[in-house]
Amino acid sequence: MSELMRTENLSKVFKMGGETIYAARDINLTIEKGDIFCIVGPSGSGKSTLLGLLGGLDRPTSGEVYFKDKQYSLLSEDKLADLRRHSIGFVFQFYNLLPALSAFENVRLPMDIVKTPGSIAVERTWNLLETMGIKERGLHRLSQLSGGEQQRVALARALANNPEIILADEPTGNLDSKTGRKILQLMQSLNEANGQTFIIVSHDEEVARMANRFGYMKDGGISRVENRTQND
Amino acid sequence: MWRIVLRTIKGNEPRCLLSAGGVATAILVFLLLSASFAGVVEKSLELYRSGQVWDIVVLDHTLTGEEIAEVRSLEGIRMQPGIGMDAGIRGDKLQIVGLEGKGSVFKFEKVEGNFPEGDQIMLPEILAELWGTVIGDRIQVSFLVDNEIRFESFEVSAIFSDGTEPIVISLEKAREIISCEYNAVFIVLLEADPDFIYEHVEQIVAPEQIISYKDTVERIQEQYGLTKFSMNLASFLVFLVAGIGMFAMMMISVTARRREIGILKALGVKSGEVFSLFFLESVIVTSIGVAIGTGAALGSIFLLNLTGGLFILRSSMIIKGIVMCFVVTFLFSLYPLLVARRASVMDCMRLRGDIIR
Repeated sequence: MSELMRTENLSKVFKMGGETIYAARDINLTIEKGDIFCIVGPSGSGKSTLLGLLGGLDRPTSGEVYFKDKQYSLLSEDKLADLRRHSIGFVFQFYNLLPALSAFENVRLPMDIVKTPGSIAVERTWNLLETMGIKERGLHRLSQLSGGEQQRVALARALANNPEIILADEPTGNLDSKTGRKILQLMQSLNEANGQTFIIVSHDEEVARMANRFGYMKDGGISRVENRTQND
Repeated sequence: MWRIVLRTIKGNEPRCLLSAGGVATAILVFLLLSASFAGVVEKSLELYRSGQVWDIVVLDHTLTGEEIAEVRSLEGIRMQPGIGMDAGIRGDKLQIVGLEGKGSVFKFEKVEGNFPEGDQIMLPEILAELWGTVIGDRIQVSFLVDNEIRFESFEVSAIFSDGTEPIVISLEKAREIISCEYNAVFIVLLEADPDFIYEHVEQIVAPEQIISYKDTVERIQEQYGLTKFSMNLASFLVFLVAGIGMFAMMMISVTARRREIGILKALGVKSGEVFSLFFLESVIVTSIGVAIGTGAALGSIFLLNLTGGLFILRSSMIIKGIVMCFVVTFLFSLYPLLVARRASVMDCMRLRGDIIR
């Protein structure tokens, strides 16, 4: 497997009043292509901050993130946006879909952003919805969809531009265990079928079981990284 | 981009409609005010015309017969019949076309006698024969002055041969009779091209001696300066209120849609594109408002005019109103648009307290 993403001494510090809070502290990680890398840790340990830094949504206080040969600190905001639109997909705990749009339109949105020709975008959107098992719900408003269906829409949206990596923040955190399991199965099948790389932030043990690598996070730092073998 | 904008507008219909309503109200009020003012000016001009309005007035200049003939030969011009002179028995058909220092006007041949001075008069041969009048006789001539007939006694000083049948009196006497300050007055017919006439008259008479139609209009507009100022002030206030409304709506929209902005940015929409998205949205909303407001103004003015109102809506007013709407929209949307542009993804998403912490 080849290296897809790497961090070097990545830190993010917030000042709150007179207090300095390390949301991320000297994190060194390497994500290989095809990994399902799970970051686990208690609430407030800095998991989501780390995900934001990896996705180029936030700038670190110090340290560096590399995506293949691209060094984030050398990229302008627009270049980072370019990177996000083509290479990174996001899945959020609360889905973060646009409520004004239908499921179909939400999935199509990233393709509109990269100006994918209409017929191709339509076909790909329906294919993605079919893959997620919600094709028949495509023209429904979000308010008419269940949480699990909305998260499938979010996953389909994340896959819309065929990104090299998907960053998922507590993707099952807002779902019941059965629905959450289905979402995880979808992710796993995408990983197995297409070699899709995932970085998943979660404290769900089931998510951790699905991953082939884990990073344990505590007080902003990665305390250890483990590889899961077939026998684990 | 358009597709995204139209979809987001679709999802924010009430807010967009409210903003469009503000713009529509602004342009409606502006057009009604402008049309009303134009109507007042037009009405004044109409009244002025029905009394004594000269499209082209030649001041303090003694026209020679050739000059007058030349001006008269221009298409679309005729002599002013209402200047106040008339010949008694000829009714309103007689035209005094010009007055010269010693009384002569244009093409005629003096058969006998002297140019009129004081209360003397020069008659055309045809009238002299008709009346059996000879030089030295005294005759009564009636003049129509300010719609009243006035009789004056003249001594015939000369007789001339001419087919145009004017009578000729001295300028001093003419001025005494009609209190006329003008040496010659011409009216440009409505179907004529005023610019063409003006240009040609200008070649005959010095420009400073001409008061054109435009001058007359300007004079009237000066008289209405205060009204115009008030109208402009009212228009400014209307647009200011609309602008503040637009600002408030855009701020509310940007604040309420911070999460949406965050999502779009997370999906790779650039800051400039976020600006463009919201800008396009405001342009579309303004366009809808302009269309509604202009339509409402046209309808209202049509109905008001049917019921006896005098509203004149010109295309220039509509263009001005539309331009004002878009300028105001842009100026007052700028800050909210910049807020949207600068919004950080993390901050936007944090508002919901759901992710990236």
